[in-house]
Amino acid sequence: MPGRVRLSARAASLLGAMCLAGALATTSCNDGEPRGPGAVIYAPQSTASGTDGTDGPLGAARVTLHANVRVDQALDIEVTYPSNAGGELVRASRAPWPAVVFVQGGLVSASRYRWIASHLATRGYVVAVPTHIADLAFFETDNAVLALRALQHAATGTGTLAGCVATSAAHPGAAVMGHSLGGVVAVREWLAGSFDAVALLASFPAEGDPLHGRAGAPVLSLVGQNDTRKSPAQAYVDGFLRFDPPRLFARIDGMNHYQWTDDATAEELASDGAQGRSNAAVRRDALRILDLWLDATLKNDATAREALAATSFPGTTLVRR
Amino acid sequence: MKVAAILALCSVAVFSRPAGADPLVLRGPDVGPSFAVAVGGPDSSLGGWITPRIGVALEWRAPSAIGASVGTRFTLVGRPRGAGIDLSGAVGFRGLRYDPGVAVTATVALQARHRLEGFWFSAGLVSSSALQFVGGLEARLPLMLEIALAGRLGRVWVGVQGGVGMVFVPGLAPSLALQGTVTATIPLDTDTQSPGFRR
Repeated sequence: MPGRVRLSARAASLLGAMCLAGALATTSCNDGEPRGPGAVIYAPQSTASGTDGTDGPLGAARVTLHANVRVDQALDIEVTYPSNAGGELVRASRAPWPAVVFVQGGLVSASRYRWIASHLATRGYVVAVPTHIADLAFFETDNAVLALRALQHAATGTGTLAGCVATSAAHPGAAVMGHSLGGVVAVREWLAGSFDAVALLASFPAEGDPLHGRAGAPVLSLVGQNDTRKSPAQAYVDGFLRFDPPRLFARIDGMNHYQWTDDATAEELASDGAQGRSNAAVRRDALRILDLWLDATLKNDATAREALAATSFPGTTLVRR
Repeated sequence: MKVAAILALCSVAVFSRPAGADPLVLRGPDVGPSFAVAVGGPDSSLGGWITPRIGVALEWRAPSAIGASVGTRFTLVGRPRGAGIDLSGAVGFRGLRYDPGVAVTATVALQARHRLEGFWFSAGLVSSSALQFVGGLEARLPLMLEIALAGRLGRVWVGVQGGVGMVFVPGLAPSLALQGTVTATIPLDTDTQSPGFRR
């Protein structure tokens, strides 16, 4: 080897060693667990009831949890949790909270579901929304369960999310929820057994999924009356009827497919049915049922269970078969 | 001038914060002793070949992992110039930033390639696997189709690499893997016809 080459190789080795040392120093100083208070979304409102589809009395704050998954891959998870006015997790005697992992719809950014995450946090749920490559959950179908594991790991730590959720399958449990394509993926995750319940928003299970394998685990399906993304719309009902009880289906009057998301684009709206009512109106009707179902399922709330069984709800048509 | 160019490329690699880690620079055109940088996402790498058969690389999957590898390569079919099939391999370690841990890595690539005076093209299968043994026990087994091409601009070979494939992790469903990279390779020996690199 010529002397010049040897010298250059040594220089490259030295440079590489310096880069490695710098990077490892950075690595040793950081991990993905957030520290300090999160960004306050809603301040606590002691007068809020959290009933009838309205926000609860707790505040809501948000942090981003970073996790190593699949050995060396980074997964970013937006976590919205019940907070005090300073953005700190409300613990006292009330934590750990039930966990909800939300799976984004196809080509819909995770941030467009913040409205639902914030609402649920005010009612005492920790909501984790993992990202997916290209905003397509079927490319990384297990990100939901990986997000739940990361959340449970963070709950064992000393950071912002310490004690936020139960660290095992014990009560309170965890539900997976998904919109549209995210609902299809959510069903897969639920079938794998890490989640106690599944909620579908404008979605249905994939053909061939062995749904009877989770017979007895709660299922909720909410679909907008004006949702024309799936034709015929009967597909939503047919998909729902493939689940075993206990199952609940609700059709929200006047709601279309993209009213589950914020900031729908003109292109999305052009591909959808008409918005029969305002976002505020249809979402409140949807949340009225979703809240009760979550309370009954994850908080084991007998009152909520009775209300779901006996009550009719404005703006919705229920199927309890 | 050469030192400035190398430092500039290093700066791009270090500060671009691309997102596993794969010693990409060990799969570029065979131009003898060389320094190379590959900047892209999710993986980036810098390093080079210090002998005809021994290469070293640092690799990033920013912000989640960083590693180092040592590798080798052989021509299985054909000659180093023209059409041929190359086999390359590398082993190393990887440090994990979140939930800190350490993994050992092994990369194997089988590439069909065509090398002309100022142009190089390759297509092949690559697997850059990792086994985490500190901070948890988990294996990652990707299998990717990779296409790369490079052209010589002066002394520097500039090119692009693109890969698509699946990642297999025991206990999890397969997931998609994508890789896109811009590469630059700088021969360290001005005379690539020197002994050991005669083509």
